[in-house]
Amino acid sequence: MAARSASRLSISSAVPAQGISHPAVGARHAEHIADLFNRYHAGLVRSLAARTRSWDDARDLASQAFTELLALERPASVGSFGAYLYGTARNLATNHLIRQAMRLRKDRLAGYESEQVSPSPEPMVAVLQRHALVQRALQRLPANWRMALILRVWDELPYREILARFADDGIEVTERTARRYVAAALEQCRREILAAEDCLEPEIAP
Amino acid sequence: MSSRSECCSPGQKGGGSQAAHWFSRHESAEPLSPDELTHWESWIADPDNRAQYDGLVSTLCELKAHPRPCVPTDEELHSSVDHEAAEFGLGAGSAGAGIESSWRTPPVRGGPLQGISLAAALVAAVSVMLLIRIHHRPSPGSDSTVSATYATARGEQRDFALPDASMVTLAGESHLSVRFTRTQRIAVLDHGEGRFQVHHDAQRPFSVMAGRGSITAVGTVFDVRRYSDRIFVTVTEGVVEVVPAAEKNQSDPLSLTHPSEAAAPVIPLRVERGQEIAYDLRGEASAARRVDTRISESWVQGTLAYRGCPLREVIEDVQRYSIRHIALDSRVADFQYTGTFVAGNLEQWLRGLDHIFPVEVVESGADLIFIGPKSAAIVATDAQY
Repeated sequence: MAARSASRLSISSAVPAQGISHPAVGARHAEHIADLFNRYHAGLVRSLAARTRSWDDARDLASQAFTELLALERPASVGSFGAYLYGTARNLATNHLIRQAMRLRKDRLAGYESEQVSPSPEPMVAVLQRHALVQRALQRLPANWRMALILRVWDELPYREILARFADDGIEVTERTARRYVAAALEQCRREILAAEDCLEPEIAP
Repeated sequence: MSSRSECCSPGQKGGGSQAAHWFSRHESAEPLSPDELTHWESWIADPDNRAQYDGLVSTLCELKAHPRPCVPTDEELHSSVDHEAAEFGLGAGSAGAGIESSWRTPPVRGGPLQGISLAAALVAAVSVMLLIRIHHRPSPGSDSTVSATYATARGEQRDFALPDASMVTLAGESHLSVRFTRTQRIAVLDHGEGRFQVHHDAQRPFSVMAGRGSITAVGTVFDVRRYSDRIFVTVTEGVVEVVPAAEKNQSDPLSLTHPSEAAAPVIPLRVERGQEIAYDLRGEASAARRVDTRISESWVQGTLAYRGCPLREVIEDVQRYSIRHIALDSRVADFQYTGTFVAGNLEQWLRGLDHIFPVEVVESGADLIFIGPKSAAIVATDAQY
């Protein structure tokens, strides 16, 4: 499983070039920054990815957070680099998500449909197999988990609206429970998909 | 939080529920406390934990690219919550439980016991649904007549629970009206496609009217697909009886006379599980033939699949999922299409059509697509709508 995940994502650990050459940063400080980078980058990217839902965006935002750290006039004044990085990254991610949501809304208003994978019919077979497999995994989720997952992932609703939707159906859940549903649903989907991949047979007609 | 290291036995190192906890924690916009940050940094430093966590995020990234599934019905939802509450005491009021313990007991888990708990969940869900169904059934003495209409917008697909506990999944741009009485259940498919899961009730046959024909079932699963000049009926479970043309009652298909009574001499055609029949608007029916019901039902999962189907009918289906209007030139309308595609990927499929057929796909503005013969000058007025 580790090998499989590794092939899907390659979190580069290259220090942003512009950081090293920043005029305000001395060579020793740059070394220190490189240490910080090695220590925090992997965790920071992963924490961001839970919100951005894209490894690329998470990597970009993490790099921006490091760049902001490098641009500080007096880095020594920062109490905890970790807290500073995570705090900066969190704000960057929030702004990023707001911009993304606005762009998406404008695109929808203008009637553009988002580009998706597989332009030609041939790779479609693979896409379809994958699609069927994912749909099966989703259908096998407990209904309340599936509901929470759909509202969160596809409808991109904030949790307070997800709670309201559950309440509309006469089901009272706390935000923490709803979060737990989403994470647990993802986890079970993941297990089902991996299990299905391991015994995948070309069965889809035609 | 500080009990994290004690709470996990060595066998649970890298346990998925910890990954789910951290994922959920990062998904929230709330900042991590210094303590949490320390725990997170040490947890994610472990390669197994990392793989687990990355798996969750990658699954999330992938799911987003797939079409949105239908949200569960109320019945499914309630049965799942009831089941969860009964089995694990994890209902809405369980806020007092520690995060660790609630994270470690998801209702369905992997491992050797997964099959058993899944089976238990299914049994519980089914029994709750049965209870609901019995409650919803009108009592035999009551003379209640129920009418309702169900419709989907273009591009939308929805499941509806009918008043008799039958289920219908309507494809995009479909319209269904129903009238249920004490003695019969009639549904009229005015437009589009529906997959019917009929609740068994021997006293009240369930008929779907489409075009001039009717499809009657007692308790079964079948699909009715309405094109402008042909209607397809595919049976996934059980048996249905098809009357391709009811001679009378055309003006008011929801009238209470049963269609097969109205057309007395007509012998209904029997369509069995795994078979498909087509009839046209004159009432001419094809013989029932065996089909792969996975193909005809694939749309329920958001996939459109065809084997040797005229492009004209494929486009009628596609139109129900596309916000753009698709105009098909009559010269290419009879090309036979075999293939499968995802409803969310229509634009790509349309653009790729010229690889399959000698056609030209021209996008005109933001809301119109023409499909015509290759390198022929396409004029809007020539196209068949």
